[in-house]
Amino acid sequence: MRSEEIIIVGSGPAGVSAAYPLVESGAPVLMLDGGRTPRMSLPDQPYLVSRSSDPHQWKWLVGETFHALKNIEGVSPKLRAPTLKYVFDDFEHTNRIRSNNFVSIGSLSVGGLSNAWGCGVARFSSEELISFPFSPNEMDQSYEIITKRIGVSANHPDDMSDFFGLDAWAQPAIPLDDLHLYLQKQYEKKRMRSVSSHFRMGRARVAVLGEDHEGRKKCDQLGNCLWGCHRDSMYSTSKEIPKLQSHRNFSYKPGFIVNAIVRQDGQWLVKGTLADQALEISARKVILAAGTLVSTLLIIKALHHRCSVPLFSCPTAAFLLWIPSLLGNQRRSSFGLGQLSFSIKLSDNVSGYGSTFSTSGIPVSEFVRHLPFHRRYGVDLLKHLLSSCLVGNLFLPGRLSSGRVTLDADDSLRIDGGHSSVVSSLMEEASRLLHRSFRQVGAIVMPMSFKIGLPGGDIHYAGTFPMRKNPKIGETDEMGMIKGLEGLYVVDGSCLPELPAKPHAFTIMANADRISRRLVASFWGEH
Amino acid sequence: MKIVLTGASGYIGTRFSSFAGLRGHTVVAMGRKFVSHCSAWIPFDLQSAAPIFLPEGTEFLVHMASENSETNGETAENEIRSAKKLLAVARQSGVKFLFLSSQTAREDAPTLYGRTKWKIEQEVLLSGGWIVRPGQVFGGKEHGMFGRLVGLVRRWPFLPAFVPCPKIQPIHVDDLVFELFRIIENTEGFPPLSLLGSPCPVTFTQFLKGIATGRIRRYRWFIPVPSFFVRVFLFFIGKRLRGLLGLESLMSLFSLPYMDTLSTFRHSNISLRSLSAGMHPSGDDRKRRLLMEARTLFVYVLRNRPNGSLLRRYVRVVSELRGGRPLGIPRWACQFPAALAVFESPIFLNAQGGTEFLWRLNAATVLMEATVLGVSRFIGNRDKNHLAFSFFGIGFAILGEMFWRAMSWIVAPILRYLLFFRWKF
Repeated sequence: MRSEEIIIVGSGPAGVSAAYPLVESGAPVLMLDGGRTPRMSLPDQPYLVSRSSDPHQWKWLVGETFHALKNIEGVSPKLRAPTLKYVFDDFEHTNRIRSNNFVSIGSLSVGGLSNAWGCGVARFSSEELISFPFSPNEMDQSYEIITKRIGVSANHPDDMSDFFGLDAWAQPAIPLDDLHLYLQKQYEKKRMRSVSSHFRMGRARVAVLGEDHEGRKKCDQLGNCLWGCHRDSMYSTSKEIPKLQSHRNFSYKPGFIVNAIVRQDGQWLVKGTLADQALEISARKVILAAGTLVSTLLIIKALHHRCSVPLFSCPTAAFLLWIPSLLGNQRRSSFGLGQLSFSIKLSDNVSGYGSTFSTSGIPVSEFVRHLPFHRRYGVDLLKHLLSSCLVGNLFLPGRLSSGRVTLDADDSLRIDGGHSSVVSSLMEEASRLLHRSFRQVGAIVMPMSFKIGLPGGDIHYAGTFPMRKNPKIGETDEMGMIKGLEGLYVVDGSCLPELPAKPHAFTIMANADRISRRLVASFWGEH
Repeated sequence: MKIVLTGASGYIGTRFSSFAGLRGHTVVAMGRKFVSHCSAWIPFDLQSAAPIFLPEGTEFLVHMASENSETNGETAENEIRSAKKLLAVARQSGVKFLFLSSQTAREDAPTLYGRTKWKIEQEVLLSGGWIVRPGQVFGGKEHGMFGRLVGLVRRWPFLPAFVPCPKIQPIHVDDLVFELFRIIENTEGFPPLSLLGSPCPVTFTQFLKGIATGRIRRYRWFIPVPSFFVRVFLFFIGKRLRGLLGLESLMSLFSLPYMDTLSTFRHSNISLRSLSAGMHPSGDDRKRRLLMEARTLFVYVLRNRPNGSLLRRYVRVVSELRGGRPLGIPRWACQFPAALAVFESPIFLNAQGGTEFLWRLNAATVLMEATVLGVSRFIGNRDKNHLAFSFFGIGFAILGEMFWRAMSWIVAPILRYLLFFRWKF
């Protein structure tokens, strides 16, 4: 049986961010990972050009095995993209996760969910970090390091600058499309006069390159974001693995599915399978970065904990936004992730956050299925309407969810999802506020289009083993070490004590970096 | 199992030999003509008095050979004598015996053919063998009576529709052969006499229409002809002339007894393919109906004819992901796909099969959008996009929607509650 110093489980944003400080300090690190890799090449022509000329487009739009149709009920178009099949495949089955009224999504791929994320990045403010068991200043250095490493746009001073808090280290903005440009101009024109103080809008800050960065190319706005970026403009931690492998003290074992972690002879024994063969590796320290759901499963098993633990996820909604002034606008391929973002203030000091996206890079069938029209006339309508429409989403804070995670008798993880009782009234309030605010900037939230998503559909999972100053069983300390399990750390969303209505992956990365830097000190102190 | 088969070159015998190979059996043909598709051939003639020998290792003797035409008293007697010889040699060798009889078989049958079959049946029962009486066999290659009827429908644009129309109980040749093998492979589980045919008889006219639409794909006119006059005519021309004109089968048709096949089905738990499915040369029209369904859905949404590859892709999707059963979109909707809007009303969407219809409509939408043709339909010609074009396009869509909402409101309840339309799911 092999024995290692430090094992990191998972190669997603948390795992890679935890790996860098340790590896760069010279500490020996072994990374275990599901290791799945893409099987399809990504489209490299402008989306609308491929669509109007490629006779084989169905292969990447639907998939040769009809992946898009197999997942037609999935909550996100990304779940239907054949090029991203490898990202989501077999996650629930392999990890024995069952969900009830909850959308549980994870990944066994190299880079985890960062292969298919929305690239939204934001710092947590001092107020949002107040429940974290350390000074907010401790995160500053990590936020800066991560921003510079992954490449973030846009450094554009506007009403959302404070919300995102990254402009100092960010790259130039990716150009907006016509619709977003119109909205932005309208907002800036009317901001001082009529737009509600409860509504703020500005450029979305995303981990997508506005200029070339460490071998990755800047965004060329082909509009293929939904299927993946052939220029690697969108950040994915899968591209970090080769860089980490250039360090001799880093080793990477793909295809290793961790089933359990047990304490044995003062060491941690990581049990799993590699190519269907059972394998065990021991280590002095194990850092869990397998994503909130899998990390939670492994910790609960290690603790022999049969009681349920809370799970945060952000209640979400989506809506269609129409800009009447731009009816008849010509469709152009454009950046497909969030272009503008907004924050709203609701009653009871609840805030919301959302982004707006171009519809030109999304198949029309994604919309027409939800239209209260006969299919034939729904297509007729969208053919003429959609070029002047945007799609928007909204996130509310994770504390408004009421999800619970339980280890069942057969050692499978059961997730029971739900929203707090106030969510529906808050969503109604948010809907009214968005209708009003967007109307003031010349856009209409389409009637009946504001739809609340299923619990877990946000894929912002967090808070199962929150960091506390004085942790109890079922909690972690400021280093992410699980109470009662010395040497077992968790650095992904599981240890976040708070999940505000904001992109959370960036803070997970910064927190993993912070914990890892402190581990570096203790590691070299011990040696 | 080594099976000796008489009538191996006939309509049913040919399919039987092919199936036997697939199921791992060896068939030795006994007949007048050499049969290449069997492993061996033994000369045999129903009219011959020559002795009969069975090859070593024979486990089953299946007797299908029959004098279908030019049956007279002498040939019928010879046929019965040959059957007795076969039974005797089988009994001596300890070989099991199965006789393929006819729906016309009965003691007082109006035709010599039916009476001959009945007499042979009695001998088989005495010897402890098994008998199968099939209804009207159809499908597969155009041989036997089925082949004659197909030829008739192919040649004649006008066909008689007898009033009242005699009813037949069709069975596809492959279903019949499949059931024969079930008996052969497990004789203990079957009674001596099995009646095989559709438990729901169809009129002879429906059968001919089935050939016209499902087999030769031609429209045929059916002229009502009173059965009474035909029967009087057949009576007056006499047996000899009937035989010469080949009208003996008509006599059988008018006096065909009903077979209670339900008891056989209950016993052996078989299901027969439908007339429309079996009429297709492949023996299954599911693919054709799925192609029709695909075409209807695509034309409904696309407002244009889809190409063949898109249709085939849809069939693959339904076959691989949804079990491959057609929805059963009515024929009038296939001819007027815009009317599918009626089925998008809650009355049908919330009824049984509504979810499946919606899934397929969604699948068809996704598939058709992922084509170059679909791009112009879903996204439009980007150069043509301007305010007036979009404005009128939206207005047209809203008007169309309003019209079909009103139509659905009127037509959907009529279809559902008065005409009892249901999805076949």
